[in-house]
Amino acid sequence: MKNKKAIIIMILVLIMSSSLMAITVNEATEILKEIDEYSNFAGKSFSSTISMISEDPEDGIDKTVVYQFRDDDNDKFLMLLKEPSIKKGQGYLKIDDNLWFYDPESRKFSHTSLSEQFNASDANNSDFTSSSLLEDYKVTEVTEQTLGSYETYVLTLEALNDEVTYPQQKVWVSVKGFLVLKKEEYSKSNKLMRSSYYLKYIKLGENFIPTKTIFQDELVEGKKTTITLSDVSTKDIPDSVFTKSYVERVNN
Amino acid sequence: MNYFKIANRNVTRQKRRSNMLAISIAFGTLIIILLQSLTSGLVANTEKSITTAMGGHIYIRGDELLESGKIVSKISDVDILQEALTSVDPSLIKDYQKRSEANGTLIFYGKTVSRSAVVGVDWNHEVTLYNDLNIIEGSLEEIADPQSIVLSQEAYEELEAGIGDKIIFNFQTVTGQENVEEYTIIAVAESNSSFGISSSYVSIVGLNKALGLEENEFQTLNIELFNGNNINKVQNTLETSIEDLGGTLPLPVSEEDSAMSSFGMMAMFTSDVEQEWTGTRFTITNLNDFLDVVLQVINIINLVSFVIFLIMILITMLGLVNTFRLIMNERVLEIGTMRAMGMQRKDVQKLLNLEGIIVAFRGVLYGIAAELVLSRIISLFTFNEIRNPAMQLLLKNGHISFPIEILYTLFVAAIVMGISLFAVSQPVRKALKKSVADELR
Repeated sequence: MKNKKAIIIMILVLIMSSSLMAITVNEATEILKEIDEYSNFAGKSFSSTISMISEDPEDGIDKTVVYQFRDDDNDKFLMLLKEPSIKKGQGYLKIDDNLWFYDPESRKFSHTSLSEQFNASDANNSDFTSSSLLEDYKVTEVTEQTLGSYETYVLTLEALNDEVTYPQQKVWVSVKGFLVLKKEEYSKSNKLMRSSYYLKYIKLGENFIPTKTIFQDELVEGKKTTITLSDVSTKDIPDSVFTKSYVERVNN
Repeated sequence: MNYFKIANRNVTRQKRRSNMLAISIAFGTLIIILLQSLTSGLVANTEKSITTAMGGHIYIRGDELLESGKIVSKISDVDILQEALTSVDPSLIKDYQKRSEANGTLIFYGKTVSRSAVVGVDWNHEVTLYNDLNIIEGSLEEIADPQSIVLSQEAYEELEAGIGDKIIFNFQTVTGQENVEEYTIIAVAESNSSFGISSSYVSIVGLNKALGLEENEFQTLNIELFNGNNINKVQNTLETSIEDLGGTLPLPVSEEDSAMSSFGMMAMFTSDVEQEWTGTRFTITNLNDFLDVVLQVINIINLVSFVIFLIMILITMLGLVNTFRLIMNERVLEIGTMRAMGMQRKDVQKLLNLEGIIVAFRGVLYGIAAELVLSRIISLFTFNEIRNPAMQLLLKNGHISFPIEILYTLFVAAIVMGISLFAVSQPVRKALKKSVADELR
């Protein structure tokens, strides 16, 4: 009899706790808005030094150091390669919808796209732009899951247009603070292509920025890229930085 | 009088000298015919490689402008294109193929081949490619299956896969979304890598779906002509017809850009000047745009071979003039005797000129024979280990080929013999200016 009572109480507690956690798709959509807001630097600039360690079973380990500059208000970014020395001076400049790659050897700019891989790593060019989850995706399903020691909402996202890099995503968002902890990105044919793990965040004013991320290629076993951010700053960056002439002369 | 018999006997009388003269003529003939044959082979092989790889002589690419400003590669205004095709004289068109293509990475158990081109082919229609593919492993029995792939030899070797293995192909849709398809390797085709990209082949139906195209859409339409000389005529007709039907063509490339375009390949690129359009924008290029690069190299080789030919001819001519001057001095008495016996000056001249022609003819024959032997020997060597795509483009199954150019050979033979006759006639004429008495003294 005592046991029966205990089981009923446990079931009730579980139902109550789950009903406390459960959120609707509309509420999950608000989370997307929240993520975009804390990821984007509205009214200020953002700069950092990115260290990328790419591990490839075929090509070995490769280290790249990049200076990153962002002007989210004007949808601009600049990535300047510092290391390895052979690639020093190469740059990615995004102005509006145009993304240019600059090669100092040929001294020429060529068009590239956000969905292309960044410097042959597992990161895409789009990983370094401002976040636009709300604009590009809709939430189709929300579940709860424990990820390590974190309670998370798992948002299943479907692209609203056919121009985003990944048509489908699953995003693990911490219940507290709505920080993105993990992402799974799927192809048009619904095959898992990449898993991203956001291991560390720092707070910059109202913004949260991941300072350590691992992008794991799910198609090639053992292929992954670890990204670490340092020297993060929200100091103003002059407009002249986001120009082709700056990219051309910065390493001369 | 049988001039030929006498002239031939006279030439044979001085075997060593005649042969030396003939060999020097033969060498010049050999060089010019061999180089011409080599360049013809290079052009023919390049033309064949490009025609096979691209599926024809004229290539029509379609681009559509999305609301976002993004340009995607596809032809959905199929009706305009079909209508434009009817405006071309049907007797000029041998066949046409609709194709789609994705570039991406082939993956097999951790092994990757990046920048791989997978071409979607309508196997029910495209018989030429089906017949031209040199299958070195597997078979094309399951070719119609949308998940079957005919892998290029290059990719097959790099992936270390086997027939029946499933491989992954990672690429982007026409709008830039990531996509992955799984294919079963049914056959391996000998590498026909062109422009640095090795091509593998799948069914267009499956690839279209994976690229985000409708079943009836495609990215390029390649037209094969009966005669490559009609390329420009057909292209002009198509462009005019597309414009008349309200279709869009790219803005012309500026004169400045045209002037700057090296190797004349600018036609393959559209103007960077912003253009807005609705529906499909048709860009038409042709085989000659690709061949321009090869033709420039060929022209240089032809020029060099022509200069070599001229030098050889000059040397041979000087040799002939000097040799015949010596011969005339040696044969003064013989000439005097012939004339004393009643032969007219012009008859003697005819006889001596005929001797020159016989020597030149022998030289030309030796030269042609040497060219045939040498070219066959060179064409026995294989250059498969040269992985340079541009080099492979010039070869036929890894071999240098030397097609026999009968008309050109006859032309060279005629020129050589004509020049030889001219060279011989000078000392002969001089020798015959003497009186019979002087010659017999």
